[in-house]
Amino acid sequence: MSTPAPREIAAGALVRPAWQRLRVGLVLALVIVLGAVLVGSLADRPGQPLDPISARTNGSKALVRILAGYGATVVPTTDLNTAIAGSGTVLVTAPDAYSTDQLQRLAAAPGRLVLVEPGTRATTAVAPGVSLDPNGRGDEFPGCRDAGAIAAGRIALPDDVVPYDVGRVDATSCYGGAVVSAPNLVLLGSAKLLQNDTLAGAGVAALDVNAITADRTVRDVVWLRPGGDAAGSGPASIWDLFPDGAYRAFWWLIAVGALLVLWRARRLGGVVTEPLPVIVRSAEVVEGHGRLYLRAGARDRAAAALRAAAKERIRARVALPRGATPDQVAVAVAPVVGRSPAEVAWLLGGPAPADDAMLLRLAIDLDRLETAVGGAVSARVVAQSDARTHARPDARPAAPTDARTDKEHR
Amino acid sequence: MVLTGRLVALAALGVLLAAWSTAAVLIFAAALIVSVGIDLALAGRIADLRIVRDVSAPVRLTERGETVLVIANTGRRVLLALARDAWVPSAGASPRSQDVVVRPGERRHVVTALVPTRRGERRAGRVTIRSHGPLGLAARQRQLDVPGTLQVLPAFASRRFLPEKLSRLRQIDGAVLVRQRGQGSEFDSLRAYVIGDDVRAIDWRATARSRDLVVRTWRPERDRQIVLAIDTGRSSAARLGDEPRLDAALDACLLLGALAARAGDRVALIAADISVRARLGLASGRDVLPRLVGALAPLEPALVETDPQLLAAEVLRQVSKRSLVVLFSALDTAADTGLLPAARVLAARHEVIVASATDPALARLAAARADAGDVYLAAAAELTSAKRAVVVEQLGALGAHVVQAPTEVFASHVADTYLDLKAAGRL
Repeated sequence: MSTPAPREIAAGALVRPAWQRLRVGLVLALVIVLGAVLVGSLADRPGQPLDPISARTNGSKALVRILAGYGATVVPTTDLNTAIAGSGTVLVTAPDAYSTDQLQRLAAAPGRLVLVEPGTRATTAVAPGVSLDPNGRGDEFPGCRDAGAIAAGRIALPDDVVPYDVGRVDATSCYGGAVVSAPNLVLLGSAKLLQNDTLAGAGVAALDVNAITADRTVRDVVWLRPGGDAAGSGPASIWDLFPDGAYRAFWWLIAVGALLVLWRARRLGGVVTEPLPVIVRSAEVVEGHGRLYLRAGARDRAAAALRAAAKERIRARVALPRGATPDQVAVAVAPVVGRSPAEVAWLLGGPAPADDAMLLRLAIDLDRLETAVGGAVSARVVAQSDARTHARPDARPAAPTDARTDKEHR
Repeated sequence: MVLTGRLVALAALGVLLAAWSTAAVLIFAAALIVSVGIDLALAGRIADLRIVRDVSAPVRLTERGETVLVIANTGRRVLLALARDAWVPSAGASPRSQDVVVRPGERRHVVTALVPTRRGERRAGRVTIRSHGPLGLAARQRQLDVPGTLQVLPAFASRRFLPEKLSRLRQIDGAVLVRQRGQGSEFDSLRAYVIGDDVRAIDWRATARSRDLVVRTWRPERDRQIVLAIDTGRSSAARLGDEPRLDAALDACLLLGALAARAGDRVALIAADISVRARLGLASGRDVLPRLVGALAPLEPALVETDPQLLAAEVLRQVSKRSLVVLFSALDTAADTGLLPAARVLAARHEVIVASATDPALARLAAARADAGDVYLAAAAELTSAKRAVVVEQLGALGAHVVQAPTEVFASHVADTYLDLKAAGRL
């Protein structure tokens, strides 16, 4: 066998160490993590409304700073129990996110409670009898005897303020219902009273500080934003419609799907490419030639070629010498096919056809003439001309061999 | 790292735990991750493998060969693996992958059958080993370069003509040449006259010594030289039916080689386009066919315009004695490629056969009459045929023999021409 002896190949030499194989991936992961950290630290935080650390227009960082200036410490939290355990003020940025029960527990806690834009359900929970007043407009002036409000004086009232109707409850309605204060309870009619962009308005900051710190007597403020334990009817979630585990099952199934993809997408080895052979269409030159004739409308050339080919085949069939003119062929053939010599001569050597239809008719007429002469249709004739041709007569098989030897021996 | 279906199935079961409790599903996920880690750690090391590839001897096209990977495990862990021995698609490798278990210190054979669909050198791709851990949750996977090639020889479809041609050769060898005293025929032996023998063959001296009439017999010349010159350029890439023109030429070469080997002639080979692609010195007897097959197998058409002068010069360099030169080329384009001058150079010193497989598409085009466009194509085809006829005539004037035949009988016709020349004592 000509093949060389097989060589043993140690896989160890071909397998690169793990750190080499994984280095590109590790470097990529590192770059992505670093990039994420960098972008995260540089970018403006998106910030939720009333976020105590957000410096955006709807954040509340400014108010927290002001409170700090008055010696109050603000503890942001999303945990309801932390808020209930606090001894100072609890500021609830989204009271509607909590259930009635949770609000009542908040209200029952010893600390002071500040609710921002509570709905009727929330107000009913903490201060039964207080409700939203759809007809109220609010007022720039305090119009009440609350010390904090009087200290703040006239304020720049936000446009979206929703006043409350205190009815006969033991509560003080200030600024036309925009701020309601009761012992250890303040209802603020607009979140804008706490936001960075509107805090600079006349009296707003003073009103806030007085309301939250109970005229600077309270130093601990718990800033409660709704978290996972907010079970209220607030912003409703699609998961409320499903049983408890559905949320976890959903994410678990997503993870299983990812595993499925990893399992199925892993190929057993790479694709092996095939070095393909060159392919040349056999009659491409002929076809190109024919199409050029067609585009140029070269009926004269085409007709001449067809006539010459037909004449040559007929000439061979009737055994005329090579180089016979169309007229000579016509004279020899006309009696065979029963047509007039002039007609055959026109077919074999007449003028070029005037249009494509006449060219087509000429081609068909030539075929008929050939058939009539005794030859088969042109396909068979071509097939015959494809057969072996020998340039020398003495190279033909069998019979010529004998002829030649006979001649030599003579 | 590769994850398995078993892992995915287990993870899918975890959805029940997920629906039940957070803690349970977290523990389950951690358990899965730990199991995958353990499985990976316990999987057989691929770096500890030693692999030997053994490829079977050259096979003919569409016949079955095989390649064996001997995988030895020098590590300490059992290798439970899925092995894939990848080959180029035309090598027809099957099965695609196989399970293999190799215990430490043992070796196992992975046999892949190869049924090639293309001639030439079929190359192996890389070997992929996927080593599973004992739990079957995860696997390590590596690709290893274990080179190998399978030589795929031409199909030699014209073998079916061989018995007929050989019987003709035997006729020439015996009966026919009894009646022939052509130049160059070698004296073979004396034998008794039988009715039908040429009376001119009677050897009167020998007859005088014996009591019967004795005739001389001749046999055709032996030890003649045949040079197969193959054009592997652009025209040889043309598809005649399914296969390129080159394949028809190779088929004819093999038949001619087999015949010449039996006739006692010596055969040389040159294949060239703008450079020499294959060259084989004169060989005779049993050597001829295997050597010819080996030299022809890797030949592929190249998209370049052949230089016939180069081919002629190489032939002249190869043989000095008067020989038979069989030039496999294309006549359709011969008018443009300088085949004639090359044939003239060769014909001056050698007996030349110019062989060209004809294009069935040309006949089809010439016969089409569906619309005017067809007629223009037919005219172009007729012009090409006429040009070819002129080339054939010119070749004839140079003393060359021209063989044109459709691919199915091309080899047979080339062999016939060789036998005719041999019978005529022209070699």
